[in-house]
Amino acid sequence: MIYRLLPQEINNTLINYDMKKIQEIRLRRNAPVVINYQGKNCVLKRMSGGEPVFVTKEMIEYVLKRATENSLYAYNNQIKQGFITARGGIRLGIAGESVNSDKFMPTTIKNINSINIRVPHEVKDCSAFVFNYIYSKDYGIKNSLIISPPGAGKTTYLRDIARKISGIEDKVFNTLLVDERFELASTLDGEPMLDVGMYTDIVSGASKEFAFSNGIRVLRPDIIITDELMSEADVDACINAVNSGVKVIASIHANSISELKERQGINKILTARCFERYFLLSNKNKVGECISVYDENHKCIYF
Amino acid sequence: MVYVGCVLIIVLSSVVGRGLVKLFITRDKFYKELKLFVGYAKTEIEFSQIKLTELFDKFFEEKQVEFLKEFQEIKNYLMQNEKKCLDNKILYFLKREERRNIEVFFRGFGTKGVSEEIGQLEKYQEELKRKINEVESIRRTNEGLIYKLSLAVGVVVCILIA
Repeated sequence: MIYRLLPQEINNTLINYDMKKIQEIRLRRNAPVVINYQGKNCVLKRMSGGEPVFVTKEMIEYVLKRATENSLYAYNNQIKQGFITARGGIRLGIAGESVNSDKFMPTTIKNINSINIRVPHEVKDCSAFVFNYIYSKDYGIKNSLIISPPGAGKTTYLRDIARKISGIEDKVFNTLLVDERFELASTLDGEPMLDVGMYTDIVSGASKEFAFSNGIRVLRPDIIITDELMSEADVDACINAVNSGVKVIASIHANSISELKERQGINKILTARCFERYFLLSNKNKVGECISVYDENHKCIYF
Repeated sequence: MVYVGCVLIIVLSSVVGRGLVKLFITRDKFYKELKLFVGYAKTEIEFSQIKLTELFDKFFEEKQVEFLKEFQEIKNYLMQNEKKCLDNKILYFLKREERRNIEVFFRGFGTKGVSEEIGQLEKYQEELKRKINEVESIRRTNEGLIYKLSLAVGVVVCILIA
């Protein structure tokens, strides 16, 4: 699928690499192509001569055309947030000149000069260990928060959890997936590009604040799954959902639970005690490794 | 025998004359339909931001498109990034320069943001209005003349043979 997006010159070189081990492909204008191979950044080199492949303006235009199916204007809402979701759940992070930028959101991004293609990996059953702490036959589903630094596999975990919840012991849980940045389900033309379970309603592109309150009102979910709580408003949306009796499984960027305590506005999530389980992921030894589990009193129950 | 030959030559020159006139009419109609498409695309991009493939399909479905084959060719040219130019066999009624202008416009179609794209379409719409006026006036001046000229050539050939 990824080959469809890339120019022939890059494809010819990528063939020499194991696609399953590539996490990112970075294209920066007038610089060599850099790939994240098994967690390490390296320059993409041609087999013959070992010369790096340099990115041209035309290559960037080609990738954008292919990713947007020759309809860049149709992706304006995503572009102004700095990404494009292409077919197959491939996410392209973009950098360029922000137009009419106010403090938070530009009108659009023009003269795009860098693209970070994130190759999606569906690691089925990766959350098996964590899931044992989230769900039990007697207590049902527990409100859970996945804490991890960027690139440690939170999104892959959440996607797997959504999929698993959909099919527990023939029970049907109405799951609402709040996919603000199109990362979890990667919906394209209304269709999820990645498997997030059969009984999952997906709200893409909306703020958590809106999606939570509106979703609870109109879709009556049993569980809400969302990733990357970033602001106080996101935290408030979670607390309100939990207080409404809806189970919430979310993720947040942090290196430890103590780091969360230091963050103003965000630390409310700990003081409100709305989550019953906290999972700390790390990418030190391997991507997506759960290194510790905490209970609702922030006491470590697995290390 | 000579008379039969003369009649055939005159019929042939009439057919050729009509063919040439039809070329002008086709060109005129095509530009009008292209303008219709540009207006349609502008509205669709402004209000629904549908993708180009869908936009073309919707246009074919909703409008009575006379130049379906020609628009399919434009769509293929646009969507297949490897296709370098429009097929001159399909768009035979256009001059090379006219085909080139259409290629230039469609090469950049879909590569900009919403407001830029709309601005570009409005500009092209104006350009097409001018082109239609030009093509129409050429057609009006030439259609009668070409038909008569073609017949006259037939008659002259007949006289020479006779």
